Amino acid sequence: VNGAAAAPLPTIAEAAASIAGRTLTPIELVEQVIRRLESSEPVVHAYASVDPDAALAAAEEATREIATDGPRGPLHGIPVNLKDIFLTRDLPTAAGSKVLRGYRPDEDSAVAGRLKRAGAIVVGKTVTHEFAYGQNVVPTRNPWDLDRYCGGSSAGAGVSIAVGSALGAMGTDTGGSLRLPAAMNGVSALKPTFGRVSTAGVIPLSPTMDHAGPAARTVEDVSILLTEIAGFDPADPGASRRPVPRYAGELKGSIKGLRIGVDRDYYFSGVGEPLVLSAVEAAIEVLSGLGAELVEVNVPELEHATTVAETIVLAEAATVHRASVSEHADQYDPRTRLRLEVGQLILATDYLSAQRVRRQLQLSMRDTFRAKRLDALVGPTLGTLPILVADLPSMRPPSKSTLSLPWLRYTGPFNVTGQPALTVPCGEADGLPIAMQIAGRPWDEITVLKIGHAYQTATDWHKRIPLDIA
Amino acid sequence: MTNRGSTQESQPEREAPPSTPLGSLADHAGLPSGADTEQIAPLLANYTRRIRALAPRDVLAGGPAITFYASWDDE
Repeated sequence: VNGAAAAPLPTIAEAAASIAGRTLTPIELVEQVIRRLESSEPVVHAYASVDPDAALAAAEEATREIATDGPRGPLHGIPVNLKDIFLTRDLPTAAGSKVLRGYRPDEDSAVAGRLKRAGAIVVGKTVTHEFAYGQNVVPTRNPWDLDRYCGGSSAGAGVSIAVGSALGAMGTDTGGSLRLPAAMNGVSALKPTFGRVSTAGVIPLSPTMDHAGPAARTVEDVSILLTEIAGFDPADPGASRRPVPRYAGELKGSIKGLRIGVDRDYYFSGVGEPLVLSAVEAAIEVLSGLGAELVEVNVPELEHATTVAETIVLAEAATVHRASVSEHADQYDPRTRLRLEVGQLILATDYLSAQRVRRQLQLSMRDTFRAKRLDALVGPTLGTLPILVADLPSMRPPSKSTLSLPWLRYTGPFNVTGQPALTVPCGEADGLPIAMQIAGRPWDEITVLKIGHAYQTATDWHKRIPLDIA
Repeated sequence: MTNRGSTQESQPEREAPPSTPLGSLADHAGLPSGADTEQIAPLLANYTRRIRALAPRDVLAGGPAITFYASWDDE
């Protein structure tokens, strides 16, 4: 049942306030979330593995600690999950592949470790496409319409937030893998700047394109999660030493005067569905109504982003998996394997050409932001409504011409440039969610989050829930 | 369907030339037995054609360094 009802579970911000005010305990909250998980999982299959007993034990410990010493911070006692490519010491990590079936790492990924130190309760690991490559069919279903694709590769991340089987989710995004499932399930998510969040302990897909980031119901919650997981990590050679702001504390205030770019040639040129594009146009008008100044821009190099991304990801993923494919070829899904084998044949000269074009796109984007004095760039996160599972390219034999997924057009450019990009729900059509993407300057997550928060203060799309499973 | 498994069976001596140019490259790249070169070939050709069309002709384009970091700093 689709509807406009308020979310039945508290947001992270609300739960944290209640826990700090002693009107809610982590045990009560985790029990509530586990009930939601148990009722939704037979339908949506968001989780690859769960350990309710361990979650309840951690919640009891958090409840005791908070009663004595108060909460460590806003995540203390908050139920969260991680995509099944983040290594976790106390839960299996299979990355959606038979290759890793039964794998139990000895240590936590950096993000899992930071969440636990912040007192978050890890409920389970969420479903991913095999090794986050997006080629195979996952069992996870879109709760807005069970016949529809839920997005991926962080499939379970988006779905679990939508149905309330966690309050925060950790995903990864190499071409849109976190923003797309967030968009298709009507929740908020951020791909931070490359280097802002450590990817140490995340099974890599494409090390120069991979980003880890949070999903949650609201931008405020995304901000709380980002504050806890961001920061330098010597174990990640790409991690930045730049200081991490307290994002959630910076959200309030007007966006009046912010200059927001719109590239109509790229984002509204007829590639997307009219219903989707008009909903995003309306969302952009809301930003204008809040005082933002809309600026028409044109970055022609955006058209190159998908080709650049494909070449880089093909070659880097093949490098990551080379030895494993050689030893376990038959255990890979045939579609994943085919892509890895194609990647193994990409010449170094072509890979390096892609990296050079990537730099040109970065510089072009920088010059546009500077010349137009932009604070952000907005457009659709996805140009279409979620498609039927039966119509997925992965349900058919691979095309002779391409394996790329058309919906990466809108999200992929910011993996190429490394800029932060936020997705927020901004409409519905045929009972399915539509989302707007807000991208910013490198390291300027604050502005992106502030715009998203202002939008959610003025609208209620983020409060809608997809399926009455309470 | 051509695959490397059957190619190898018909050509037991590794020094013998493979049946297709891609088979040779697949051997060189170390693709596993069973890799389907008939499926791989058009995909590879498509990706390669598109990225080569974009490759900068100006050898100085983008500056001297190849970087994937997101910084826009001028230094």
